[in-house]
Amino acid sequence: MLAIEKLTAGYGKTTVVDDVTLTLEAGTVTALLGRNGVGKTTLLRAIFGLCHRHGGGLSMDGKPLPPGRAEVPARRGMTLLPDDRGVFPTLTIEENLRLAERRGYRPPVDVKELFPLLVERAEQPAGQLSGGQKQQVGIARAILAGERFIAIDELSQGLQPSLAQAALEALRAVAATGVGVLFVEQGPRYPLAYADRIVGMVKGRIVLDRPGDELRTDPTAVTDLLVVS
Amino acid sequence: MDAVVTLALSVFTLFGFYALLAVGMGLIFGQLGVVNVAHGELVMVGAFVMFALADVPFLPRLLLAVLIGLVLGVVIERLVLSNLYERGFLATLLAMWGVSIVLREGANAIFGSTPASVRAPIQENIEILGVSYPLYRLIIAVVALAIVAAVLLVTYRTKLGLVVRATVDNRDMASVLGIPPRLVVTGTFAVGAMLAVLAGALQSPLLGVTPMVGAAFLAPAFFAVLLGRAGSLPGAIFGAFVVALLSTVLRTYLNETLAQVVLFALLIVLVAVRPNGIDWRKVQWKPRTQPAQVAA
Repeated sequence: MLAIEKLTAGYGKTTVVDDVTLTLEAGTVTALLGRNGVGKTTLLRAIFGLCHRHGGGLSMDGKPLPPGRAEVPARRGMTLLPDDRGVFPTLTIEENLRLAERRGYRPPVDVKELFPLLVERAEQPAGQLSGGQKQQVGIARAILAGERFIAIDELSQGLQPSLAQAALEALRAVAATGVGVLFVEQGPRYPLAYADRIVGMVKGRIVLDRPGDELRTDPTAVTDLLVVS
Repeated sequence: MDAVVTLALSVFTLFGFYALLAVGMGLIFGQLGVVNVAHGELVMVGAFVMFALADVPFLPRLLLAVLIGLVLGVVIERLVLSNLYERGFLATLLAMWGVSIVLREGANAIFGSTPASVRAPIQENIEILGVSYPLYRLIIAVVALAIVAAVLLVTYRTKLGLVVRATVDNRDMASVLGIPPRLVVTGTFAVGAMLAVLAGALQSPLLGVTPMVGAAFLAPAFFAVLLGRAGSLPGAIFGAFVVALLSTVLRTYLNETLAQVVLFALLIVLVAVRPNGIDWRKVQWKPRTQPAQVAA
């Protein structure tokens, strides 16, 4: 569905993502795993044209995605929750969610049931929320907007474990309807528990790409990836 | 009593004019972070459009001025500003200063510097609480304030306004949700510029229209936006009221020159004691910013 072909990207002249080729399938939950600073965030931003693309290409269902214009993937039903959570601080929670809704698309899970906060504080400006609360707004927004593909950076940051688990259950339910899901984590816990496929990065390159089931029985490859060598 | 009524009417009509200027300038500043120092020249353009097309009936002529304002706004944003945002607000400020010179000298070349006059479509006076006052002035003040109210309604109560406010808050995230930021930015500038041209067109019968006439309107609009805390539209309109009130009262009791000096001295003091009004980097639309809560 989403094909990343020999992608090299970074900021200015710096290369952060180096020659990455990866195909993400519809209906699959993929975890992108790696230590701090290996290029996970930059890879996500590059998919949405939010950093400099030095080489390679991206296509969604065979149609290329241009660099530098995040509204193009967005119009094709792709969405990103950036690591800074990207809430609109002066808009209320309700307004934040309204901007994410897509005409003619209702996600299979009710985000307001998933995160009761979204109803309780509907009229509060999102800038007043705590980090974990902003993360809930961000995940809800991603579920609403991601008709085809959802990318979530640092999924569990600031979230209490019960909410992170609920969010991942919800994302699995969304993926079951044919949406591609890609989430970034720095720890092995959630990828091993919830991902169909685990992709590992070191120094801007992909060094691990195996099914989740395989790694669940033998997680040494994942732990090796995360140990500082 | 008569003096009070006259003063109130003067404040009201000046407030309408300044509010229309301030809301356009506030939109441009809030959305683009651009200090539009050509705002006064856009007012001048509106006044000259009304003068140059004197044969066209008044209302269609206003409509033409609106169209010209929109086109001018799109052209300025696309040709001049669109490549300069990354260089910061000083670059865009200087560029707009250049635009103001081009507009002023352009008008000078076409129309010369002799004051031109535009005939008001309504010449009658109206009797209010024993004071006779030109009806046209009251009508344009009401029209101006209605337009300002409409701008606020669209900004805070419609989907379009939501899109604009989201783009101000976080441009990258807005584009990730499918909002084309370039279109929103160009559109906002065009509307802001159009409001200035429209203000000039409405005001034209009250002015001696010269290429220099715009310079006098930049400062009131600028201070109105500053007084109302940066980027806040309702604040800018409140600022316009303060500037209109001070300006009218001072002009009643002092001569023109002294009134100007005292007015701007007062405004500078006001801005100095309320420095929250000047915040070039972070732009807020709401008048109050609450500190973020500690992470739970």
